[in-house]
Amino acid sequence: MLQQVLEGTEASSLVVIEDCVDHDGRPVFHCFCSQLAKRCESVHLFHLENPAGVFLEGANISKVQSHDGFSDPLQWEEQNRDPSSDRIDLASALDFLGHLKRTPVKTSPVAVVIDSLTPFLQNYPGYVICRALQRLLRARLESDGIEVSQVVAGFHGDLHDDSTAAALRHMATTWVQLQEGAESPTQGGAGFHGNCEVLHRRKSGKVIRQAEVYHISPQWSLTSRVQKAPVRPVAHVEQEAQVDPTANLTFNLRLTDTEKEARSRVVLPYMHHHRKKAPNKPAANPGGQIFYQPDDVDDFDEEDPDDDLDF
Amino acid sequence: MEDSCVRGQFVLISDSLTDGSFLIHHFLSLYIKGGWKVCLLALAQSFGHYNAVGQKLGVPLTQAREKGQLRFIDGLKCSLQMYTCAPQEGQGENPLRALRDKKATLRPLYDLVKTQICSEEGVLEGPTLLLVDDLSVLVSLGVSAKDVSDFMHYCRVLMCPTQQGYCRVLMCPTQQSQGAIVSLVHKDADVEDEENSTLFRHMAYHGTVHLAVEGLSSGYSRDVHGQSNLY
Repeated sequence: MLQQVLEGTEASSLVVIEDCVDHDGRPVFHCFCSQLAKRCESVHLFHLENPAGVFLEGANISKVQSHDGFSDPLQWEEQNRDPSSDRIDLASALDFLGHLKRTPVKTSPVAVVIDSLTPFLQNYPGYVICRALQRLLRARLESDGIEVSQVVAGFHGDLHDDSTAAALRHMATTWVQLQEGAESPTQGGAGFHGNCEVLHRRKSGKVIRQAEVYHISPQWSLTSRVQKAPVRPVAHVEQEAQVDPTANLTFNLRLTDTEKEARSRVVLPYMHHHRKKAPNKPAANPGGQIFYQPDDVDDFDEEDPDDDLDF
Repeated sequence: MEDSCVRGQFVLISDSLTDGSFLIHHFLSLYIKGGWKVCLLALAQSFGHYNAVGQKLGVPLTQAREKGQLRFIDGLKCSLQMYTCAPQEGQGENPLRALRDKKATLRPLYDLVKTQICSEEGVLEGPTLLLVDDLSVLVSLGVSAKDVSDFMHYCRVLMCPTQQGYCRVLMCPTQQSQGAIVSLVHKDADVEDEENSTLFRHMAYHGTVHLAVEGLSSGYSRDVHGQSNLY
């Protein structure tokens, strides 16, 4: 499913890649940037946590329009501001669509890539982010002059609370949760691989959730397949583990059939029975007697009347 | 970990149930000996402490400071002044005024770091290391993890904007950063400090290398003090 969403064969308007400290999502994000630059007319990259060049290797950079939230997101730098590049100001109102409209290149539809939502979530309430994303997804060529085909956003799951994640998960048409981190590249550049769980909602309403294994080549192409559940030979092992405890002993623990029958006839002293007692026989305990009468639901086991043996 | 000065690195040191500050002294002496300009933002110890340890490691920090190779920012003294001095006695110029003013950020501290290590044009003059000891002190004094993260973000943009990361093989040599950062965050497993844990995660996302220092799982040992993991 991840590969299909990446290649565009499976439609998805909002893709969120959830990673954490142990499982780096940047390689997967890089693949999306690279693939979107191939199949879309224009890609708008909102980069706040990494410089733009980190995700543009191998991509057609002529199609990529950068919106810089990395260099000076809080306007602390008075000098060296390049007016030609579009900068993101986290102190002003959030408007993804406004940034798109300000760019001189007017192609449509466009793809939007956001690295990542965390800086926005730190400076704005969660509903403001959701509203801005919604406005982006609902942009129309006739009214807004631009149309967005897909939005891909990164999200650090371990930096935000569950309610924020739940709100974004509700909006997303594809939620990719990385579960095993991308391995560091070896000297030969073997790429990255890992596991993830993909939650995908189709327009028809069908929801698909599956665990997948992905591999990223050094050329930033991603392949994924459904992770097969491991085969468990549990029953076979349990059968082998049952050993007769009465075997190989120096004393006899087994009972013959007549001994079993005699045991079943033994009347336990505390069991209440309705046989008449001899009138001249004194009571065993003149202070009181205890009778046990099991109910229908009691599972009375003659071999373990106290139910405290662990076989 | 290579025992050499590497540009473009953001080294995050974390320690749990042990003291990882020995790595601060190690990197301080390593980069001073390597001829780098070093800016030490000291929030946990005084200059005398670093100098005493530096002399044992064969690096006279007093001379380095006089030559201008070492720029020392006495964060410990600044934080103390914020709590002991009256507002009219110069708290307005203190780079750590965010400790008393909840609306303030750590921007004044960033401006101070920048003036210490950059030229008048605002660019680094040669290979420079920013050493921060340690970030958990700021959180302990009431600064939010978000403000500390914003401060370190700007330091990262200043020191290593084209940092080496998972794309190490992709970085063109001409685009290499002039600077590097080494910072320490405490991550004690027996202390439930949500703000500090959040700070650590923020720094882990910023960092390119994570050195985790911890005690031995088998307990205290006289000869072996602990173990470290490199991520």
